[in-house]
Amino acid sequence: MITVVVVFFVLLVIRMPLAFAVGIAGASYFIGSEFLPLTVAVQRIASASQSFPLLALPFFILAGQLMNISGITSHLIRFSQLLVSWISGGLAHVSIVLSAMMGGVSGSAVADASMQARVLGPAMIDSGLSKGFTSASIAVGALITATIPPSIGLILYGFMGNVSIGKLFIAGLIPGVLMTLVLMAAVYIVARRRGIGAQTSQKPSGKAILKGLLDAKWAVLFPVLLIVTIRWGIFTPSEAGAFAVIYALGVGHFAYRNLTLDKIFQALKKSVNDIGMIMLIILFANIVAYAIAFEQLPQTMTQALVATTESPTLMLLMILAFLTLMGMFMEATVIVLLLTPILVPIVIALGIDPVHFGILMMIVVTLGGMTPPVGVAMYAVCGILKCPTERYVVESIPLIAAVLLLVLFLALFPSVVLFLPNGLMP
Amino acid sequence: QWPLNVITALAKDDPLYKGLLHFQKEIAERSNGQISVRIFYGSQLGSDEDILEQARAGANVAVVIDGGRLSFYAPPFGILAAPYLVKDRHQARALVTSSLFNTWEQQLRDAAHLQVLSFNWWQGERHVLAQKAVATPSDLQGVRLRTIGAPVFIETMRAMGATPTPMSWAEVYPALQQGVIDGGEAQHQGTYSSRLYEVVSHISKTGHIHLMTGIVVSTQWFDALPTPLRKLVRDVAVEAGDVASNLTAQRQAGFEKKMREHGTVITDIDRTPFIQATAAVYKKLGYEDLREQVANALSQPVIQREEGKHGIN
Amino acid sequence: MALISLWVKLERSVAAIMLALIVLCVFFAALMRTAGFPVIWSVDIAQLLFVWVCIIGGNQAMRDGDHVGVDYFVKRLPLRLQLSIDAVVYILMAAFLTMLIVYGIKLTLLNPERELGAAQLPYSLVTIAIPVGGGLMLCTVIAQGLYLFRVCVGNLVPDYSLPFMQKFVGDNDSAPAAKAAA
Ligand code: NA
Ligand code: NA
Repeated sequence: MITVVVVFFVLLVIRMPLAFAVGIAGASYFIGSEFLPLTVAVQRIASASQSFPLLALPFFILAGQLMNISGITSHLIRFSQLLVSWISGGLAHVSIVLSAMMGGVSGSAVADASMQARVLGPAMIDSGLSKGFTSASIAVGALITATIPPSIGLILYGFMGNVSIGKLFIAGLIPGVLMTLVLMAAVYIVARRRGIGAQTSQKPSGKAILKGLLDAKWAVLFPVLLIVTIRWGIFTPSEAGAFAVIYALGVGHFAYRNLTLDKIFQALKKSVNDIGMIMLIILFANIVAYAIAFEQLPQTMTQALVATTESPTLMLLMILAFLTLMGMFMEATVIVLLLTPILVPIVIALGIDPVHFGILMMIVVTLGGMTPPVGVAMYAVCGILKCPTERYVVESIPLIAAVLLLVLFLALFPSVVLFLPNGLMP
Repeated sequence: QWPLNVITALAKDDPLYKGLLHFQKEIAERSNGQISVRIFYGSQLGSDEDILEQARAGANVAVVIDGGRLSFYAPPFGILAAPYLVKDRHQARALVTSSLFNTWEQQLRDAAHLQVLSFNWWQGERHVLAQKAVATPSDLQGVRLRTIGAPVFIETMRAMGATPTPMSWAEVYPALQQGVIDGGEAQHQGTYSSRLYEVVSHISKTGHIHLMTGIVVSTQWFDALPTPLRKLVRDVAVEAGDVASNLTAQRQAGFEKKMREHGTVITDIDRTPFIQATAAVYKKLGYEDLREQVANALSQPVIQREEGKHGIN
Repeated sequence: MALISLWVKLERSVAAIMLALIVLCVFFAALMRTAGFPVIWSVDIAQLLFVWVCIIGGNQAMRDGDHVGVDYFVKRLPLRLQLSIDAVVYILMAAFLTMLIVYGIKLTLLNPERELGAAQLPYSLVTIAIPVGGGLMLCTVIAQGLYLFRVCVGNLVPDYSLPFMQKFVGDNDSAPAAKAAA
């Protein structure tokens, strides 16, 4: 097992694509084993694709693409501007609220961050916000998108840890809303200190908000439908993903009237690339997952860890600190794929609800994508806006601190996360 | 020296798991530690079909599995799940320890490089779970009943009057709750541990199938053992199967009591109409000859392996 | 050359159509079940198509340089050294893909009786996707590897606008590779 870890990290350092680094590391375990033929390694790759819950992943990737081309995204941008551009910090708040609204239709922080950097970023900089602060609010704000259902990270966590994806989705709702509020508060404080004004002086009237809401109704309605259909068991999360695709097509075609067959085909092709990229990692990581299970690593580590402390809360905080650190250096997907099978049995043994833990784990590892040295969302935004990393880092500190405080709060008060899923899905 | 990894999809509180613990302990002692057994529960190493495939590929894994899934390699195994094949668990045990069954085992070895260690792991009778009392096939008319997605289960449900609806076990509870399906069929152990009795009002004891499972291992691992150890492994596997079966049998009454206390109506019924209705399943699946062979084997008084010594009390 | 670009186009279209079919299969199954007429085969077909979308998509992502990796360390090295390190990476990837092809074929032949869910389709249609995908990706790896080799020995002027060459171009000012390349 040590060989596997060493091989994996060496390959990562020499810029091997992640999928192959994890695949070759996994294969090294089978090569070193007297009893396990490599045929089994290939079987694990094929088997990983045969999980029905995992189908939610391609569906929500495709739905995200379709939401963009169907006009749903642009309606959401308009509505967010109307809602919050009057607060000090102006368009930075719009970016945060937009992430929250996008959260209801999109499952990926990186996708949301790159979209906003392109669509909203230049306007934010023009409005007087610094490049660093613009990039930071877009990148860190995108964390909300990954927390509010649907969430690709939560699908993976549920898949690897055998935890109900439906419950995870519903559990992400309140933390996502709280994160929106906390980040808006952080933006507000920074803006007030620097004397950054609002975008518009007038608060929107109730009538204007109602009109904006009606204008954006198809987009705002979707997350509501998603939760309702999953909660009342009309759809499983995977079926809800297929429904999301059909919904986006329907809205784009009938309501907003800007979908063409050609556009749909482009969205399909783009999605195939994204799916291929993520799924290759997932398929190859299943080889390592087998090695981890075969070595009975979860059981061994659970016994060792449970013996060290009596306080589950302390242990939870330690695991979260460890994950935050890992997140800075590794891609969120990989952490979830490799560590979920190990960590879920540990937290269950400690008496921590795996749904509660899943939300916290997802937040901290995804947050790692917004920090150096390895941060996909950060590089995507900084690349598009041509923002130097140092300036991004300085400006992101208050936002990241706000998120970490929220994580601490959610860790100490599990019921904030759990009352909704437990109340809705007993 | 010869490590073996036994995999079961069942949870730790299942009698089957207790049987495996017996297997693990006895093997280690009686082989003087030459064979060490590790038990994996849940599906950490893959689905049952995956593990079977791993065993075929030569990995040192064994899997606890029902006959239906082995029927793809050796068709006779499929008849184990045929409706009303045996009248009770003792007869079921007699069948899977008979010389007829031995020829099936050989067939499986030749076709798939899989060695049966023992097949006397009785998991209980399967009964109909529904939102109403069921006494005859006509009561099941139009009832969407969850079953296992193998031909023998599907045809049996159809013959019993229901509309068979295959679905993974984990989805059954929410599906019943939300009325996606109208019922299911399961043995008490499964009904109780998955709390299905909370979401159906009636359990009608049709007893249409005696669910038999066995341990199957890679021939590559088995053949590498010296002859005395091969015999030991098989003997201990039969003992362990008895331990699990007896424990399952002991628990039946307790399950019924608890489920009744919850308010679920459990009724004993006259099985004759269902026996008659399902007779056609044998013809449909081409099991007519095989059924005669089974009847012959069961009429012979000789039972190969002794029963009854091992129980947990 | 025209043949290759035709093949790439075909591959993309096939994968896109498969993805659309997966959506329809799952949606159809959900509708029919809700309506009270559950269909068994629909989801099985979706699962079968999914493994093919994954591996064809994996190959396309490789062609387009979309696979993520950690470029934090290598990016800081001189371009020539980067190229030599990449040579090692490509050789290892080719070896891994060859393994997938060889053992993938073995696996497919090992268990022909296995069926896919209740659809009574052979499960080998799933399994064989791995060696086929391995073969497709091996072609891509060899093509890109040869390109880099020719750059390395100096008989080719590298075109950094090619998708898979993007990694040699830094996307912010902390990347020395961009300057080296310029
Ligand atoms: Na989301
Ligand atoms: Na990071």
